[in-house]
Amino acid sequence: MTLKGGLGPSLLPESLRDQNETVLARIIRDGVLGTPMPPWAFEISEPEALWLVRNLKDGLDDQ
Amino acid sequence: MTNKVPLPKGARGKLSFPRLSFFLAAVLTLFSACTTPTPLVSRGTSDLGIVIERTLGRVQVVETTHHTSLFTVDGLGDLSHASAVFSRDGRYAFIFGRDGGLSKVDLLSGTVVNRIVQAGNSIGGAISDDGTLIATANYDPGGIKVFDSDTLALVADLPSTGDDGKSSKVVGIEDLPGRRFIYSLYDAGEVRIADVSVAAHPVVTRIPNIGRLPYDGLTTSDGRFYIAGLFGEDGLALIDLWEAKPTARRILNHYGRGEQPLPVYKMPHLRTWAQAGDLMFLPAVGRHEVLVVSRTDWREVARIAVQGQPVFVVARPDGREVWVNFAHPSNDAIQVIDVQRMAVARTFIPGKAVLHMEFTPRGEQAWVSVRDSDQVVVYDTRTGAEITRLPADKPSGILLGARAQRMGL
Repeated sequence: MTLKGGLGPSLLPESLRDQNETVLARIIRDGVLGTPMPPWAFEISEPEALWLVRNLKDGLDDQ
Repeated sequence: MTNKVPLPKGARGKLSFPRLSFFLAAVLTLFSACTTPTPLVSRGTSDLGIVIERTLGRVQVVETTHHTSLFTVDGLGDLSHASAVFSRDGRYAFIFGRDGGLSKVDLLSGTVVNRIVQAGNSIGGAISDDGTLIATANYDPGGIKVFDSDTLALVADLPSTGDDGKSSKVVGIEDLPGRRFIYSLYDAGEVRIADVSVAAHPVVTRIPNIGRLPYDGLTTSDGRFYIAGLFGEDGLALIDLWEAKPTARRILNHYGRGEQPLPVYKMPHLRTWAQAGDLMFLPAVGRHEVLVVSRTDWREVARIAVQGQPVFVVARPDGREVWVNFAHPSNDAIQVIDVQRMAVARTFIPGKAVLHMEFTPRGEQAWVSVRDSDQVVVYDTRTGAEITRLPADKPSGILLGARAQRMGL
């Protein structure tokens, strides 16, 4: 995965640097109405969403 | 390398002139055979295809007669969401990677004969009716690019700037007769037709205001109609390309009946072979339903309840059955709709994360990629029995070369 985004925006560290962790975690759990971003709260808990956000901000090692 | 030259009948004794020339010709043949690369196999291509192994940037070349894998071909970049089209002789696959890569792979030798990176983020492409042009649909920087299919040299670069001056992501690109391509602008809500019949002077026709957020498109197999699915609205946009001045009209409007849509964990895909007889089978967005519309008057005929958000809705080539796969969390299943009864007739559970299905041209086999089980499952579509399971690394798209002979694929 390139994480450079498709219909949605890029998830690379430089794109996320200035974004608030709590807000991003809420987007993961609640989705964004009217866009293809669906809510994941049914299987991703708040700590898990924050963990994901921090890992994305740090940059994932694809390999 | 040994090669016995049979003597022509009755030719004995001295080297007569005919015999000498025969001998020389044989030596020349031998010589050329030793110095030029020889094709690996001498065979036809109509039963060949590729399986995308998305995380390895690799494809397998497969054949559907004996259900085997012939080659793996590496070095194709990021193949998440990759797709391909085929040269009209069935020999080459043109593979579109998410990273903007366009690779030309020789299916007979299992080699990459050419590869370019033509954009930063790409979603797919199409091949012109005469096989001379490859067009790519791009997210970043948007627009479409058209390439010579022999050399992959750039022929045309057509931006997707909307009325607001912004570049739009391009989705749903399909070929049309007459070296033309049709595609949708996701952000601008517009369809465009690029006529590249005179390569130096491409002509772009705009069809604006088709609806909000078109996410994919299909043409009917005769090339007459283009349908764009809309993510931002309850309905689809239909364009009759046989009209002198094609315009978009809405079909299946308000199919959600104002109800709150369900979340969509994977975008549906539209496919040219959604057609079974006079009916078109289309995935609803945010509904666990397949929508059935008549190709005669474009009215809704039925809606069929299925077990999840449909992703691919694909008619078996004979049109008797329609196979459906699903978004997470129902993506371990395939449901088969019986077109006579307009209801789900059977459910397969091929494994974890069923990503794609492809029928052989006469529909007797269905090839199914099961990403998280690392397998491709081949079904006998009459009996529902498994013919075989082939190992594959995180397989996604399965694309068979018979697509070369069809419009809109």
